[in-house]
Amino acid sequence: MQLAISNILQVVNVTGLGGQNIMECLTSKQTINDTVEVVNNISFSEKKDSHLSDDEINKFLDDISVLRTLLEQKISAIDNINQLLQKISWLRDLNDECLKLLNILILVGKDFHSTLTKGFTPLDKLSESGIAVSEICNFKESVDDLLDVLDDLEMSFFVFPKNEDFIEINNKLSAL
Amino acid sequence: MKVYCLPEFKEECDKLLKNNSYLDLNKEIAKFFHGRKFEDCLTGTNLNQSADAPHIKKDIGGRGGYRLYYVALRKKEEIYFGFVHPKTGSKGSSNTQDDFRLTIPKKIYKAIEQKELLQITITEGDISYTKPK
Repeated sequence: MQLAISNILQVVNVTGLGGQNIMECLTSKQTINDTVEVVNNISFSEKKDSHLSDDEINKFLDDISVLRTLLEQKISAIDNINQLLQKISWLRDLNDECLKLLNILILVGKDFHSTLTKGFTPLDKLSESGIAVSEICNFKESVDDLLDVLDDLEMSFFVFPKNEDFIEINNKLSAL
Repeated sequence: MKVYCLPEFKEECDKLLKNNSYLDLNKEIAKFFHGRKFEDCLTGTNLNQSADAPHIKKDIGGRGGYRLYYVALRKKEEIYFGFVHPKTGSKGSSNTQDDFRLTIPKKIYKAIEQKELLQITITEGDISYTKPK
């Protein structure tokens, strides 16, 4: 564009418009018109886009806020489940029917944990970009706690009771 | 309610307290136990299904806090700290290994028998250790 205008100015300076033939004048006019159109289009797009950009930024910020709220709700729900599972760890002398039910609970809980961890990868990307860092960190901690308490239930109700050391130490401590 | 700990519990705490990320460890322990009745300390996860001597895993210090393992002797109303670890930071971890968790009540019982425990005094914002007479 700059070159085209420069060429036009050169023609005007050297020969003056009066010295130009009609064909040259029309070509120059066309070139300038084309250039005006290009500049005008870009300028218009810029104005239009920058206007849209504000909307997009606001929408983006709204989305982050929605994500934060959603994560907080999930954290609260998972923490509630974790507390319920912890209370189950205080139950004793469970019969086979109860143990069967507890086994189902552990399996359902582990399936829930697996579903939750599938969402980690996109959340990690957001966290790396500095978005909802604290909420994502807390969410992952709650999900980790869920697996921990499920493992604890499995070990204390199904695995450790078969361990002689475990039984012996429990009896000794209980006798103190 | 009396509180005791394994000597290695104190060593672990001392090690953690040297790290700037864990300077609040004693404060967080004190915050949970200070002025609390024995029965109110029986919360968290019961790892051995015992009513008389539950082995308890308790998260303290809120998010990214610490995980404390202790045995509570109901008849004596005594608590024995066995192990603590932070949940986050360079020394942070999630659950301990299953085998390791089994060793904690064992070590506590042995320490009770051999009188190797340290007594813990819990004040409003701190804890201190003494060798029981």
